[in-house]
Amino acid sequence: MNGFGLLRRVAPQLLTLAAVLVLVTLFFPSFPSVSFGGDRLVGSPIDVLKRGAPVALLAIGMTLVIATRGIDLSVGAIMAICGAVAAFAVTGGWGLGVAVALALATGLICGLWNGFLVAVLGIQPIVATLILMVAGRGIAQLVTEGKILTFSDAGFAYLGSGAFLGLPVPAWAWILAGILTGLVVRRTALGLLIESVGVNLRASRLAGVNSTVLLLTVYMISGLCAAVAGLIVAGDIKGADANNAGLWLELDAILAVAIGGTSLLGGRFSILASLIGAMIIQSINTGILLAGFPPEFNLVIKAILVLLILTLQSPRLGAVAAGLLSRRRRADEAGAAPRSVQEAGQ
Amino acid sequence: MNPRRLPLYVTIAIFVLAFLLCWLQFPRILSTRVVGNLLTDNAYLGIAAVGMTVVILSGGIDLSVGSVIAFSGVFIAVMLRDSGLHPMVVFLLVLALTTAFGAAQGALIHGLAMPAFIVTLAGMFLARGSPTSWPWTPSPSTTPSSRLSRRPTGSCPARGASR
Repeated sequence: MNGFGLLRRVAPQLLTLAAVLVLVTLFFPSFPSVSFGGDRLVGSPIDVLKRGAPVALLAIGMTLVIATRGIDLSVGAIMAICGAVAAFAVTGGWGLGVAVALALATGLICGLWNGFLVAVLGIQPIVATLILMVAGRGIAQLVTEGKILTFSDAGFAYLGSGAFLGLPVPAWAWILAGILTGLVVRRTALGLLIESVGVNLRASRLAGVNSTVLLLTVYMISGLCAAVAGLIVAGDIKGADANNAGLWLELDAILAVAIGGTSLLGGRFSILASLIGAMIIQSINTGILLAGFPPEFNLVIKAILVLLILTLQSPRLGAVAAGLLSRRRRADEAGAAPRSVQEAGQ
Repeated sequence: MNPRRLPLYVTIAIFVLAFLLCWLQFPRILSTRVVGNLLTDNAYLGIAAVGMTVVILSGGIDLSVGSVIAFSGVFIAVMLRDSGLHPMVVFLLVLALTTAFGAAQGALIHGLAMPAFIVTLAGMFLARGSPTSWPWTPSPSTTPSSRLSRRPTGSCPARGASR
């Protein structure tokens, strides 16, 4: 896809993001201000980039999974498991490198489990990943022994709250992960093969695509992204909370992918659009808090905004609106014709 | 044996097996009281499952049921406290309201060809968020804890409302 085609693909998402940002600025005028404080940029837009990191990371993996006509409900639980494993390793004195490696490996294993259920056993993705979604928090609790495991490792905390070259580390994490995944799937045939599996599994298998390995891979990428998100969340609060780390984030990630315009029925996908979708969701979340609404309105406002965005992006709505417009134009032309005759007569 | 019924038989077998395992640990689980409690405590789950079956049969999914359960509980409680209506009238009201809520979601899914997962996800946020934003609902922090913990008479498991 060339630059112009890519821009046209993500134009609705960019417009929506701009509209949300303008809306938030109307309620909270100092929203767009960014200043340099100490070692990093500070301000609400930077905050959106940082706080949106877990959902953005999950959305990268989720986009690939949804492109294969699957869904991964377990990412929130995987975040909790990986955060717990890393915190366990750090508090055990094994060092940061081992902790991160263990957490990433755990994410890959969780993804492998999901992929095994879907690709080898042929269980529906929504049911297969539901298993780990329910069981995962129990596993995380086993690792943390039911406590909130806190640690004071400066390196680990840097992952969640540090800054590099002026930007928070979590923001770097999702931007780099997005670029890397985008390059891998778009500069090789991998993205095309993923789309083909999502459009028609049987046909692509007959055409020689190794769909089993491909499905295993996308679920493992999803698990890996969830592991990074779990590390960030654990590092941010310097503790692993098995019950609340990543709670309901799988829903936000799926929402980001849907706002990004990727069909839940598989096929064509855009990681960039999903990432913009994640930023839209985080802008709504941050905006509601900044605008000073009573917190009990948060969910209602979020629901209404999400419904509005999805309604505006619905292809069927475009067709309906186009039909109404053309009918009105025809009526206008019919009404305008006699007038022009009159003008000609004068 | 009809092979298409196999999943049903497997489900029944798993249920019996699980019950047997429980019985080995806790023999009293076979008492009528425990069996009755199991039926009572999971009534909301069974009722929701009936509706969910129809939704999944038609190729969709409804994520909003849990929030709608919570919504109807709060709605009934607030109406009974504030309006003085007969409970049956309130029940009819809440049934009409939640059915209309489902119909609105269905209209969006069908009319605008939006994915059921996402529409009912937004519905879940809406139903979960709306009771707390009613002006006449006391916010949880100001409610005396004694009122929250006081149980209504009769068995009334409120587990559907909690997560």
